[in-house]
Amino acid sequence: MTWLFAGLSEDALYTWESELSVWVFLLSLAILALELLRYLGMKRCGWPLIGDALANFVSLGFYLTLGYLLYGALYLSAYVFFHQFALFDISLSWATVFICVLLADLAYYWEHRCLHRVGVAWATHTVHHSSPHFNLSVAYRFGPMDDFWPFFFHLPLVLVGFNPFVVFFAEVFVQLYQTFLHTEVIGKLPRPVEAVFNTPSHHRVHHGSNPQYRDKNYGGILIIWDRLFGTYAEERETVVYGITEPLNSVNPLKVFFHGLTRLWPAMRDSSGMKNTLAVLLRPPDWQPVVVRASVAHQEERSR
Amino acid sequence: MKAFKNSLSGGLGVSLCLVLGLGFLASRIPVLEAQSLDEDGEAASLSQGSQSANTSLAQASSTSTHLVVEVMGVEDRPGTVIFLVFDEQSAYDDMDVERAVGFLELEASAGSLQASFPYLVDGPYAVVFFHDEDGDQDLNMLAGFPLEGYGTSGARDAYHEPGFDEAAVGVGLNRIQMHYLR
Repeated sequence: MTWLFAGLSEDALYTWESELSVWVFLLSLAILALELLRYLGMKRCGWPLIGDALANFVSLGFYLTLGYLLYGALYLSAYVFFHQFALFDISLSWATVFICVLLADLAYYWEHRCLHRVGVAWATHTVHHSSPHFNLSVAYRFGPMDDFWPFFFHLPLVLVGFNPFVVFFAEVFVQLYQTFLHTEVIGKLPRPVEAVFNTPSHHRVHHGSNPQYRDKNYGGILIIWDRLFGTYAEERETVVYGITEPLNSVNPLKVFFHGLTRLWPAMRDSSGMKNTLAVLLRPPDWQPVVVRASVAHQEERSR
Repeated sequence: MKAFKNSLSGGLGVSLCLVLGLGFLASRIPVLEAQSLDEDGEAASLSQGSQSANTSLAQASSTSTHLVVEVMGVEDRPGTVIFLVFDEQSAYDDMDVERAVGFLELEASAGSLQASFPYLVDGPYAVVFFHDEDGDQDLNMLAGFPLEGYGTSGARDAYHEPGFDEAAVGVGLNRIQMHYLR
């Protein structure tokens, strides 16, 4: 067990991070190939599925480009800057990395909940949810600001005293774990596993547009956060994947930017500063009182 | 548990407590020995000290009663790492080798490097070291900037030159970063 407490260098951790990312990507491609063979057998492997998968990888390209050009350097330098105000002095070993991953998973829960319940954050996260399919390629479907929001939620870990590189590693690790949740191939895992960990079953629920599945199962690695904070739902009814207002397109540009192009008219048409702010900060299904009343009125009349 | 299940502020409060609590726990976890990655990405123990200074793993733990210095981030370059230890301000300010209480030269190896000073059992000490690549026993400078790797106890970053009080460390394991500008 001494390896757990042995000193670890930033370089070593960075090497682990890049190796892990590459191997997870290669493994997912292999599993995706098997998934496609399975869909072929079920006669579900048409252009909608293939086109969607291709759009997913194009969105990954956009996302990585933005990450390298815009967010990456800013992110790490800001972390290193804020680290000097750290509360505790935390050394670098696998034991502290483990604790950091646990806390990064908690931070991810709140980040993810915010991505769903704050209009402007949903404008980027809706991309990931807009696929009507559920296979490993969906794990790589990203929106334009998916690299931006995590910064604020993981900053507290840097301020508590975790090494910026450790926090970065932990964020990536939580993300990589979830890659393999995007599959219909695995049913339910043994009960103790389903009780503690996020699983393909829990994550299918998260991607569901069925009313009882909406805004549920935000967890990254652990599902206990959802059980603890009241956002858990069990997979019972067959999941209908996607968003409530379907995209019906596999055009990568439409896929990548649809959150923003939908947010813009909502902001433009809102009356007054207060309503514009509400469009940005309130949950995506929010509507001004007047609109809600008129919608209710029209429903009343059409009845 | 029910109290915060449907309350956002309750949930955030619990989360904040977890972050602070586990962060504090993490800060109490001691580091046992130095480890580094070799070229193949495999973890290899590099906790090598000098034979003359009697370094051993047991002595290197943070509970040892003498001064132990662990240099982090030694790059894969030739030469040696030279250590100087001072126990008083004026000698430290003058970098007077004659009045240093500790002197050690170790073969440089990529990763980390441990130096043990069994006879330095009373603090506080200021520790300086540099990576003597060309073997001239001196830190080569250009326009006021070191051309070889260097490090000082208590330094916040590569450009911080701590005074004796800031640099002062006690006995036990002290991990100090080596900086390379070139």
